Amino acid sequence: MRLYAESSRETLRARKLLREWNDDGLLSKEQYEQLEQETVSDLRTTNIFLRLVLLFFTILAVGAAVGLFFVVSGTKFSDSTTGVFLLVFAVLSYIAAEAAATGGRLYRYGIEEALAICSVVLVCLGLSSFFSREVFETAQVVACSVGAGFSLWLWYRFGLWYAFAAAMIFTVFLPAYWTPSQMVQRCCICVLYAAALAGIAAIRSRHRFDYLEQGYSLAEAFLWLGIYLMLNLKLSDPGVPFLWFSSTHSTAEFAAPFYWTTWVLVWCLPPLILTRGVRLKDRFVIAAGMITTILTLVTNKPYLGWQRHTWDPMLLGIMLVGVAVLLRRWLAQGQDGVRHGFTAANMSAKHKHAMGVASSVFGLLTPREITPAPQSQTPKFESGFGGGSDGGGSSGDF
Amino acid sequence: MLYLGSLVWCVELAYIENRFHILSGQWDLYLLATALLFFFLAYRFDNRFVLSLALSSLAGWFGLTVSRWPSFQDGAYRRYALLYCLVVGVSGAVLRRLKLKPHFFGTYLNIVANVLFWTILSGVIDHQEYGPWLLGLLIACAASLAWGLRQRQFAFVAYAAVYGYIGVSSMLLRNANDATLILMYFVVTAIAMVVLLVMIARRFGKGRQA
Repeated sequence: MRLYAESSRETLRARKLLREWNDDGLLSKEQYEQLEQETVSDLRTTNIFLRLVLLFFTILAVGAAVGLFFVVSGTKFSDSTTGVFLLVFAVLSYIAAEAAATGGRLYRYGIEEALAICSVVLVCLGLSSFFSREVFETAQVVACSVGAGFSLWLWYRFGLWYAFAAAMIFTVFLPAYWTPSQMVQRCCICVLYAAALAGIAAIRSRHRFDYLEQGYSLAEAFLWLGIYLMLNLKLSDPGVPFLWFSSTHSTAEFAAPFYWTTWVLVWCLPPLILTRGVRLKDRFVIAAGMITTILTLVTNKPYLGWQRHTWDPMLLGIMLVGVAVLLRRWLAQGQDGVRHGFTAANMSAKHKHAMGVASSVFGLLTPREITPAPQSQTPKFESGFGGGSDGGGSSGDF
Repeated sequence: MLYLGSLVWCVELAYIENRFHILSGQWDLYLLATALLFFFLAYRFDNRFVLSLALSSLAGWFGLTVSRWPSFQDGAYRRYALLYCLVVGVSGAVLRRLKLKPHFFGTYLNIVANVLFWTILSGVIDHQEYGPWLLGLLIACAASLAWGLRQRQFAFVAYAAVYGYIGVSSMLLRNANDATLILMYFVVTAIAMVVLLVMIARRFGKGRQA
């Protein structure tokens, strides 16, 4: 059922590890050359930059081709006819993706990914358009359900990690058509995510050291994050930016027991996720645990309806730095700088390239985030989370 | 940790200035001081993330912000951006030649390339006197492509492809009103770009049989 043979994926993984070990200086030149010859895969890959550019241009070509068809045909189609044509394009796009992957042996090459992404988008648009005249809600339910299912299929078939995240996003919209109650909707989504989490946790134990481990690890991290976001009413609320600036919390939509239960769960989940991540030595789950911990600290005051202060981000930052320093020192004091299999020392050079790219991206994105805003002559002080010209300066212009 | 500490420094600085107005009216001095501090920290602790913060702060001191770019109207603003690119690019090259953290050069170059391409693109998209900017874009794309292929840094190939495509397309489609023609243009050129990039990848071994 998977598109790529297990042996091909394993060989690719081995080759990737080989390059990392070579970059770390763990292999001699002879060893590297010999092992390189033994790990030749039939799959064609490319680097991340060309992959992104190829993805961009393929999506552009498919989108323009679909648009061109409707413009050139010159006929004003009915919604259902438009839907049928879009579904036909979706099928063609999917067939092209399969052909690129099987015939062209493309693996994470951008082209086959773009075709697969286009097929999901076209299916959803096609179904929405096909049903929209009769029953709008049915159209949305069908489009979201098929979108979720199709995304899951792509995740399984092509191994595209972001297809799993897309399936989760499609799932978020489904309960809205089952019940108008926000509480029940959130509970439904949490139950669905929890069921998926249980399934993933059961499956991944069998793939602890093979090529599927990373994919399952990411899926689990996404599911933990998804559950957390659904439970944290201050984060997933559509009006969250306004609520963060407000000193009062809105409990009107939710019954008090539900509201305070979510508050308790929001505090319970991060340690649970972190514990699981540490126990499995899983980077992605640990990262999910850290993100949820920080989000819990950030949203606690709005949750409790307490006043926010301009110095809150500073205290949070100082606390995070303090925790990082303590943790690092604690790990370093272990035997050979290792405690329970964890070390603060940089063991591998495999992230150097990623850090180089990330540092450039941060450099481009941070200018307006890090610097104080120009002030008016008569500043006034309000409570708020840093924003504006009189907050913590985290969103000013200069 | 250092990156986090640097961000906290920025927040604290912003708070102090907002609260006590120590340098009221000359807030840009904070940017210069912050940039210098971050440069020192980046080189002292060999941290490229902090270097990127230093370059961002320096860009702020030059008056460059991401939020200003969509205006695409300010000729003076573009001059400052070019000056920034020149200063940072030359500094990065000199420091590399002096063998002072030569691996930082990539960060310098990436940021300079992006700021430069944004500047040139804003000039191309501008409806007045876009000719020299278009010429500049073509030269920059050729240089970026050549550098990327020679150094096997495919980020620069990607910059040349995307920025070049956007710039040339915006010029060619500037007065086009026919939807068929525009869509046809995108279909043909996008496929051509895909084919070209695949050929480049294959030729230079990046699209190798892994």
